[in-house]
Amino acid sequence: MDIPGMGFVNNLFEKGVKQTVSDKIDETTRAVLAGIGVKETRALLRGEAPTEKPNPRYRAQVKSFMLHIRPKFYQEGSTWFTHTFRLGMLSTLLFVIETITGLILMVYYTPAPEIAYFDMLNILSNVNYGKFMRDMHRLGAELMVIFVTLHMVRVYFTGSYKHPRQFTWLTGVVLLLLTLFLSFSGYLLPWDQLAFWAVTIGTSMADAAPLVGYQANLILRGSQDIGAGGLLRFYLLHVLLLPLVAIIFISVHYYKVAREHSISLPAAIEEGEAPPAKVAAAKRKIDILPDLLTSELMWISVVTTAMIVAVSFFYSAALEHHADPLKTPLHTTAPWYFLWLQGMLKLGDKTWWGVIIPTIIFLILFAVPYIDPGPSRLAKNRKAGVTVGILTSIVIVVLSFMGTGLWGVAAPPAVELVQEFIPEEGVGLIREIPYEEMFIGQYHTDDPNTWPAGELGLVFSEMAEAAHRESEKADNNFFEGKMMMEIEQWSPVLKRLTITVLWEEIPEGSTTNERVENSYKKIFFFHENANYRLLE
Amino acid sequence: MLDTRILIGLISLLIAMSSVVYVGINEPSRQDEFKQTFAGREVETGAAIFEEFCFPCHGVKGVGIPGVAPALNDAHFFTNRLQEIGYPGSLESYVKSTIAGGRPIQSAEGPYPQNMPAWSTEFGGPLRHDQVEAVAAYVLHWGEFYKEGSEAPLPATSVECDTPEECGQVLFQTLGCVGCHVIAGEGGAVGPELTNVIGEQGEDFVRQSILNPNAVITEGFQPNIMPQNFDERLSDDDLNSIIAYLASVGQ
Repeated sequence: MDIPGMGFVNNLFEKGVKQTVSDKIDETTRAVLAGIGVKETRALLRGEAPTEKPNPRYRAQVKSFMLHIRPKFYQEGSTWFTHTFRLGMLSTLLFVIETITGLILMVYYTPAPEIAYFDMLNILSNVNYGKFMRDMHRLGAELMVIFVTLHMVRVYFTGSYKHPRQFTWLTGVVLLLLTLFLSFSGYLLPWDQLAFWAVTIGTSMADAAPLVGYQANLILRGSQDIGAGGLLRFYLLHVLLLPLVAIIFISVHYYKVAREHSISLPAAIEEGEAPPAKVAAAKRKIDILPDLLTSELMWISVVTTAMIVAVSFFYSAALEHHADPLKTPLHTTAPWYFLWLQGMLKLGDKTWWGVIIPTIIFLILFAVPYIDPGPSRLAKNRKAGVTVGILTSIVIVVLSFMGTGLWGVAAPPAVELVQEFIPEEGVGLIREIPYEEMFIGQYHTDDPNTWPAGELGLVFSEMAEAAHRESEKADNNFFEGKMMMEIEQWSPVLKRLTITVLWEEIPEGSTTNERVENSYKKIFFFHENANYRLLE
Repeated sequence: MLDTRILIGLISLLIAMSSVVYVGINEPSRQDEFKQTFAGREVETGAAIFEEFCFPCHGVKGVGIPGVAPALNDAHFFTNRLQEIGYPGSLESYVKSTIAGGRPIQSAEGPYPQNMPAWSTEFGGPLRHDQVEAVAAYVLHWGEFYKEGSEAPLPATSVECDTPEECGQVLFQTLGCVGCHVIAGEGGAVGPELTNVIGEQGEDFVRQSILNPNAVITEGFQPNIMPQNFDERLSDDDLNSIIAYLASVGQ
């Protein structure tokens, strides 16, 4: 039988149902997987030798775009885990995760000061998987900064930036900068206090730049202060310009690796320091299909899963109060990956330490391969380079520590005491106490008879200790410190907490050392349902 | 033989999928919890703003100050107010639009010589959109306690005082004096500062000014702003307490 134009039906009669259907499945699989059939897919997954000749895996690399941009093989030594730690690939993975989660978040977000914060509340309380997506995006951003930085550190210490990879290093430093700016530009978008003030501090750095500072600040913020214009600009930077530039640089960076010089081998292999057997093993070829792809898919799966588990059970991105341009929160800090910069700012002049020196640091970073042109990548041949690397890492850690609020705190002791137990933003010990256990009453640290029971009592005894601790300090002009707490039922679902710090101090300019009393009072409201631990 | 890497990949994929399903199952309750939390926090924020900006006229906890501004924290406001003035919208829109735009004309009932100013930045006031929302949430949260069948609300203000000075101070707060007059660095600037008023002007002058505010108008201030009805509202004891308090501050 031969019906024209009905090959499938004809085959059914000629070859039988089973054969025809399996042929059809094989044909479809080949169409989808760039010429790799069912049998071959099975062999790939099982790590077996190719089933056809010529090797269909190489053919797939010509036919498929996604495979075409990969090299055909790596040398085994360049894939050793302890050599690369998969950091480059994982950075790319995070870029992809950020793009996907970011696109979904964009659906629910409007970059306008009147709306942005309410959109955040909506994402968190009305959108299915809204919080999940936001936390993934935030965690991904932080991990991306970590992985990209570690990738650079790895490349530095293995000397992989040397000839012929100088230009690849340069594009890598651009990608580090882009990662930092991507993270930072996204920081503003929730439009809460954290976002607003971190970015205000960040952009004020631009203002300190010599000659162009004023204009640079205006261009970034859209006006003197961050407002509607600034938010829109940061949004466009975050979702459009920076990702676009990043895609271009990732492509250039990866093309160099894939097509020009591949991933470096460990220096000991390349320079013949390792035993010959090891060198031979390291130089064995590993095909992309299936070996490398399997390994990559495993890492992608493992890291993505780790993130999903973290987000599902532990990790939660904070959301503070609505941005308030008139109220600077206590202890505003930059995001942790800019703490080193904030630490440097404490060393002196903003123009020098905030702009000129960081610029010089990045210029040096760009120029590393050209400053250190020695041919050997072995650590023992580049002692100066390795020492500088270690020292720089230590300095960055120390500067970051200096950037935290722990160093060089400026607020008076009474303000700090209140902040310690009930911070303006975030949770703190008092907000962790359940509403029902915020017992109505007046409590005085001086009189233990008044101290409340339960968790509140424990916190209050800590307050007494803290007040005592501050009074003992010699240099803070804070003597005989006491704290008072009054909790009132304000409405059936609302309690009012008044914290008062009482202390004695020597007035400024006084010559007699006579102390006078002073006090500091702060009021907080607690709603029955306001569970602050939710966003911690 | 299945590659171990594929096995690890598949296992973690399963873990990931289970986590996603777990999150999905919990979404409705999580969202409810977040809604409640954010609503609660909004009331907290609103309370802080109300007790900073609104209490001088509407009284602590919104119980109202006769002659200055009506009560918001009472049954009448939540049950009859809209019908009384024939407002066709919801109470929520009434509260929000009044906070945002103020009250450009005299309130229908009661002697309220001051019109409520506009509070939203949109109309030249100091509060952002989200702050207006928060104050509205605080005001409306009282409504829960005036619904039919709900328990009687707490006494709105508890006045506890022992000495005349203390009672005077409480009255100075609850009557709203502090909204317009500065005492010891705290208070509004609509009326003259009172920190040393007893020492400078004498007790009789102060008594007269409270009971009949227009008798003498200090230079630079407007007549008819201060409530004219304190002679009806204050007992002799109250008046003496306020005088005692003012005298104690001036020392």
